[in-house]
Order: sequence, then C-alpha cells, then structure tokens
Amino acid sequence: MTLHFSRSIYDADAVQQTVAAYAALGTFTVNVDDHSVVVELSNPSPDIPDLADHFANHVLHLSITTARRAIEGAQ
Amino acid sequence: MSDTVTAPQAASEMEELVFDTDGRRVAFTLDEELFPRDAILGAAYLFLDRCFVFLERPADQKVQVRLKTKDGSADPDTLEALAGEFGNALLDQVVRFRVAESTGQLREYAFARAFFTTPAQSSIDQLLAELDDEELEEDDLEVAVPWEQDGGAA
Repeated sequence: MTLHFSRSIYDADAVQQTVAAYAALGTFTVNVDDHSVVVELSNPSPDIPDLADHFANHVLHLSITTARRAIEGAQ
Repeated sequence: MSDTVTAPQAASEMEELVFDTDGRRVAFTLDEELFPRDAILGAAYLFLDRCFVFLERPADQKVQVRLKTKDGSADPDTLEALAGEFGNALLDQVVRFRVAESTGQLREYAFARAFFTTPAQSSIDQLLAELDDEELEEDDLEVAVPWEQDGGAA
C-alpha cells in the first residue's frame, strides 16, 4: 500500500517520526520529493486492521501539533 | 455515489458541501479561498479520535478531505452525518480563525499594556509611603499613646 502525503499539508518530519513509531508493525519505505512524502507500507501486522489509516492519522496529528507549536513559538 | 448537504439560507445563493461516499469513506473537496488551511486542519484535528482523516491536494488551493469510519460502519446515513458534522466544525473553525485574525492587534495591545506598563512595585511603594505619612501626622486625640503612658492607671 502506498500513501502520498502532500508536503503543503503534512510535515515531512512528522512522517519520519511516525515511521519510527510504527516500525515494529510493518515495513515502511519513505521517499521524499519536492511536493510529497511517499510511504510504501509492506508486511503490515495482521493484528492491526486499518494500519495504514492509523498511520495516516498519526502523521496528521503530529503535523498539526508541530504547526501549532511553531505558531505559538513565533508569537 | 454522490450526495449533497445543503445549508438552509434565505438568499438564493446557496453554499453546498458536495461529497462522495465509497464503502466506509466519505470525501469532499474544499477551496482554500473559502476555508483557510488552518481552519481545515483545526476541524480535521477534532475528528482524529472519531474517524480516520486523510487530506490530499488534488489541485492548487484545493484540499480533499477523506473521512473513514473506525468502527467499520458503511451506513450511508452515518457517512452523511459525519460529512455534515465536519462541515459544521469547519465553519466553527473558520469563524475562530477570522475572529483571531481581526482581533489579533487588539489582543497584542492588551497583553503589552498588562505586562509592560506601570509595574506593581510602584503601587506597593506608594501605599507604604501613604502609611508613613499617616504615622507622621499629629495625633490630636492621642489615640496612639499607650494606656500606661497616658496616666490612666486607676
């Protein structure tokens, strides 16, 4: 399964942090280009249904909290 | 399958949230000129615990929101309600965003005034000085003279 995270919405570091957090649950290959971060998920853990969706939610959560911290820090 | 949720409006101009459902998913595309990116992210954040949220950028200034139920429900009514609730949360976030933008300068001014004007220490000094002045004033009624010194021993 391949997930495309637009860099104008998602934070690239958030993707990397999520890959580190989910490393035990599957094999993640990350490719970063100018516009998106592409994550290839293989060998997902059969114990966790919707693993890719959980992964994407985690990335979005980290991206939003990171952006909010940056705004608060700038003020 | 494609459905439309229409917000009731008195004017002939109507804003519509057009969405598509596919199994457990409901998807709709938002225009960033109408809904700022921060407002979209704010609404998405509120839904992270309820459903799976995925955001895509199909075109410049466009954000596609895809919501997928966590409990496996594929009921069209549930998906429609989810899309509608997201729309409401989005409007709430847009209002917050606009209010924050329009009152930002005022808030900065209020904070600056609270933190950087007359320090509290000076008012304490002023009170102490007032007490000193009162102590130095003459005591015509000799209220401050102790009873023993006043020859009051009977």
